[in-house]
Amino acid sequence: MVKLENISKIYKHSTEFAVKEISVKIKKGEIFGLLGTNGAGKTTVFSMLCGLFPPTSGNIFINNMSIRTNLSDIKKITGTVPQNIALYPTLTAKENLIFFGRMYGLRKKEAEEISNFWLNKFGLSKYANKKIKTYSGGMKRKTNLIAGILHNPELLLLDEPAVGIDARSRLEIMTELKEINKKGTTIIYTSHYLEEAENFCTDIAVIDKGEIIIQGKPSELIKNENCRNLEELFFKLTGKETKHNA
Amino acid sequence: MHKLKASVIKEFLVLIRDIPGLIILFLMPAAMIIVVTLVQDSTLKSINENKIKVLCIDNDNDILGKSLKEGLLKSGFFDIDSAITEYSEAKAKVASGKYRAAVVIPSGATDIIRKNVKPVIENMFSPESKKQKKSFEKIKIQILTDPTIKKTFRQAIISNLQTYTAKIETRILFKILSEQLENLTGSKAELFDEPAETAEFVETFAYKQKTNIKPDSTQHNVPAWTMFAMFFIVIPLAGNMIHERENGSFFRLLTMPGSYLTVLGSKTIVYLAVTFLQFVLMILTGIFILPLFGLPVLHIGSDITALLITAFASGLAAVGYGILVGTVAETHEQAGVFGSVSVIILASLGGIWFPVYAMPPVMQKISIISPLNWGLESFYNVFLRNGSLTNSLPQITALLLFFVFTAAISYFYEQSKRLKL
Repeated sequence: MVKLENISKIYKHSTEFAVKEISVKIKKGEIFGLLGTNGAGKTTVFSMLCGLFPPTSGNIFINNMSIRTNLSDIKKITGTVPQNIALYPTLTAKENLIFFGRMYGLRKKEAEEISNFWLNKFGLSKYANKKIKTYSGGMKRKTNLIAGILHNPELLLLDEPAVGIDARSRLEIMTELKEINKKGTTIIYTSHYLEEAENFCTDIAVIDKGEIIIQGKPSELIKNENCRNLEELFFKLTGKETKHNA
Repeated sequence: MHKLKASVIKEFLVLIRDIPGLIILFLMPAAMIIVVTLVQDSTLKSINENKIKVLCIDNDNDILGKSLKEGLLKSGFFDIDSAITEYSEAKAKVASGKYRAAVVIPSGATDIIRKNVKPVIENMFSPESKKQKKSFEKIKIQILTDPTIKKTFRQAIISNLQTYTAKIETRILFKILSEQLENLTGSKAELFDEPAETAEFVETFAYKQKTNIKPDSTQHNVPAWTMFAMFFIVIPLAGNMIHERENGSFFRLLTMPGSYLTVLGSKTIVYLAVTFLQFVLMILTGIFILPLFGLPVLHIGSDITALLITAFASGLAAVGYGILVGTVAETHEQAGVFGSVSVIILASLGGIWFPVYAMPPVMQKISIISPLNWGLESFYNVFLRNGSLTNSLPQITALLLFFVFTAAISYFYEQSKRLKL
């Protein structure tokens, strides 16, 4: 489904690699976690996967389509949930979702129906006509997620989808994401919540200083490295604690 | 197409919920037109009707003193007060701002004119051998002015004094001439006391087509401030683009299928509609609101098509500029400061505050770079010269090209910014 082939990124005005020769294969239906501390290179990989900018070298293939030559086709089958609340604060949740749905190519009625479905699913129906700026952090996160899944994407890219919200909202979001994955959507997820990643991901890669230092199934990696959990494994490999646990 | 439609609806909703932005876009320009037109109109009235208070100390007490006072009064610009006779007191009154100017006519001024003129006439009637070169004594008329008054007012006083001094000189010259003729012929020479004014000045406005439009403060200010208001759209438009980048929705849009041109296109459509509404509001203000303040009513000329196309082209140019500022600026502060200052500079260059023809030659040449100048010239063609679309075509073309240029730079700048990351 997704193949990162030796990708590197050096930002303009910098001589250092933000990402160095990363190669990853993600199969259809996987939940792949890209884990690392702040500044490790997660967001750079995420941005390249979204097609925001190309890698300096190497290539990314999604469904065998190159991100360099088939970006517009790739965008049609991909859903993106950025770390920021990427919504218009003065529009209502419904207005936001209908707009983003239509930008994904849905017809107005279709976008409206799907928005209502997801708002209902996340318990936001009665707030559908309230402006986003009046929402709590958890409600904003849920709406931010819905905006990325309206068109039922084959590949869902999530950048810290549950950061900074209460445990209950986080659980709701992660449960729904598992449901979405069960229906066939491949998920690539970046996070520094290692406990959450351990339970959520089928495969992980740990990125540090722009390089992948280990990748595989979380349970196997923990076992192979004689660790109790992902947190311990992460500390053993990088010598760092994630910001969340620091 | 449905993406563009959805995007237009979104832009519209974002715009109408930005109340401070709407105030900047609609109420401020309307208030500006009313205030500036009122101020300019009352300034003109202060010259023509309110009259400037001038003190006159007549130490001459003869023909010159009397005539100068009469002349200043007759000009209609000045209110003459002769109550004060002391120079120091007059100076203090002018310095305090109670009077705008004081004219001090020295004693014996008329006699000096007589002394200067007499030898001239005598020389005329003397044989060649007896003709002498005479030196002339000068009359020093002192003018005290309030430092706050404009140069044009000072020039008006001096010009009036020069005119009436010349008249008195002529009158005295004729009087002495008639005396000389009387001496020569022995009979009384009946010369006219004062030469009649033989020149009559007929002012006609050079319109392109026949019209009853009269240039006044309304005809000048409505198009000028309409252009200014249209270009002030740069602030809310650039702010909207930066806000979109800051809250991440722009990032989300970039990850979606579709062209960046859809984003630019929807902003252009919505903000162009706003500039058009501004234009309509300004026209309605000129027609219905300004007369309520006793100001002249706006006449929109005879070529409505030219007017509408000018408004359309000016609006597009303003939107293009706003998109460019919104693309290049990285923060609200940058967009706010650069946007407003650049519009004020372009407005100054374009003749919004001060007419281009009255600028120094270098500035007149520079003024042609201002799109506000092109729009204003095109509006003036319709509003003041009663011109047609053909007369405005060069300016309209320039405005449309300006939009294409700014939109293209914005598009390629945005693309290259991401590719160069």
